[in-house]
Amino acid sequence: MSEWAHPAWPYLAAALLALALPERARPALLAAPALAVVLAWSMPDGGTLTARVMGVELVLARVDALSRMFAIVFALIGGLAGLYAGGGASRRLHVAGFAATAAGLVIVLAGDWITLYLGWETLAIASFAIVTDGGTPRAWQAAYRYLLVHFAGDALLLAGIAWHLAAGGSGLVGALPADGARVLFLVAFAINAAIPPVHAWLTDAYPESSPAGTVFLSAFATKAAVYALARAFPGWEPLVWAGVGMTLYGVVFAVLENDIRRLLGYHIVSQVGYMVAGVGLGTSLALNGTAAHAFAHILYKGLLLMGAGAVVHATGRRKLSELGGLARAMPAVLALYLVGALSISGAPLLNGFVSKSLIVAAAEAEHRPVVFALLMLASVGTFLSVGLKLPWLAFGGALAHAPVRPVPRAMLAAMTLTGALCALTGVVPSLLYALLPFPLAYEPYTAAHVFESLQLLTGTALAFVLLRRQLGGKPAVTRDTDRIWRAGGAWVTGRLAPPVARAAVALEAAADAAVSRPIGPMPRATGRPVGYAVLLAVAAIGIALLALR
Amino acid sequence: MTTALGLAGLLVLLVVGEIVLHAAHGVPPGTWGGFGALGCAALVVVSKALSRAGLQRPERPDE
Repeated sequence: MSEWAHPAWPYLAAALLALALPERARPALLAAPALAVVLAWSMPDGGTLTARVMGVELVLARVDALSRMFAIVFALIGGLAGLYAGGGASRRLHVAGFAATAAGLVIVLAGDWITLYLGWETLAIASFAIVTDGGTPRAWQAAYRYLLVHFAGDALLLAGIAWHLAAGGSGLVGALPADGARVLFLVAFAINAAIPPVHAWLTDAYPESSPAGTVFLSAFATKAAVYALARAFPGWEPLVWAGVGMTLYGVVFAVLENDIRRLLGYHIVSQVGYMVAGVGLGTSLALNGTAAHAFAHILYKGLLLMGAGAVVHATGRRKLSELGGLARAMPAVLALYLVGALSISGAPLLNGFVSKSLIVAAAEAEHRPVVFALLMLASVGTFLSVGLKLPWLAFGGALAHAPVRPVPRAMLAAMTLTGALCALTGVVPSLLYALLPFPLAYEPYTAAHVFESLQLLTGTALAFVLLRRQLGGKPAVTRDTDRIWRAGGAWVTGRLAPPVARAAVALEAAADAAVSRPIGPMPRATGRPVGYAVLLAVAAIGIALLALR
Repeated sequence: MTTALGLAGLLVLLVVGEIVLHAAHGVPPGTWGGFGALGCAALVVVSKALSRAGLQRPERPDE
């Protein structure tokens, strides 16, 4: 029996308990995240958990500084999102949200590729259920598109693992040899990391979930992919440019976007770009930056989406063209949103400043002036749309929507806690830096660096004041690469599916007739709610963890 | 009035910051403030151009 436990355990238990507990008892489930954080923090360096499943030796957990850092922040955000959801969230969200957190923890602690794949697949199914928590036809449609894209990625990952193992590669998670299997891994990771052009599932699906659902969603899929890229592709040059491209792609689309949560979704793409660029640079400073920025991003992006979710909850509206004047009605939400907005913009005293600086400094240290300048430009675009445009249009001006529903105390409590963590790790960066995978000799709070950042933000604000009329929220829809699979999907469902369905029905009838003669009629398959699919996935992980030794 | 005050405040901040950066660290005046302002303008121009080129379409009533 091991002397330590996998931090996915409490979340797994919470997901299962949420199936049975009545709504009023569900706040008690928040004990699980607290326990998971303690477990993640206290995992021994070099510790492993193994299990033999169907004759295969699985390394369910292998602890080092990188996996511990991701595990701690995953365990933290699952609890904060759970708190934000409060007691009033749906049973589906509690089950799927905690299952997604458990799956995220399984991925970042996985010692072998098969365990990582199990977490990867479970995360896709749980995330599908979270998207459907939006409860609208649009949410269901987006959820199915999400599932199709991720299942395609999952299939590629599985094929890559099979190829890699068949070619005699190591089953342990680590750098991959340059062969065909590596390409399959890369595409699978790129889909989850939302690297354009395979990114639009994110901005398609995340805004359609419930407010708390979007907070859960924002934390795991992309950051698990960043973790996997850091393990398998450190120092791979094309990732530098893929990352830089992501940072700019996200900000350009965010400047245009009218839907507040979609705008923030584009900034997930942009911020993950910094992390991907850090992986591509591959130096210890850059990889430290990737890990630190993933940690910080999960917190400040969670806070921003909590703020946007509070606006959606209070007004029932999500478009900048329909919002305005909320500052007086929701001052606390505005203040806490601005903490997240300034953090993502790299303002001093907040965690985005101390994490983003590492990646930018790594580019500078490697004498990559173009990469450095483009990352700084993306920082300008981030402040422009998240720190200026969104709050100006949603909170400034005259009240565009009345009445404004009060924001539940649970939402405000979660936002306050998350904001406090953003500030704490920004003011005392050593708390964050102590968790980094490599030794670090870097001081973010030099006068030059602080003034650089302040000047960058002030110059951006000045231009914004002059150009703000160009940024007014217009009721327009931004076309992205999701058009490709939407059009393909329409063709499949409109043209291809009917004859295939008719053929399947005819085949089934023929098979039924042939079989029912000797053994009687076959039972018909019935539809099952999504919760059952999540439960099955959770049970699969549970069985694997039960076999711990 | 508010806009004018805001603009004036930002300008003062910008100039003071640039002076401090130049005096203490030899950074050419206008480097980072200018980068922020010009970068912001460039991103707005690019986004608007892409929008006009068809990256955005008008919203339908059911959206």
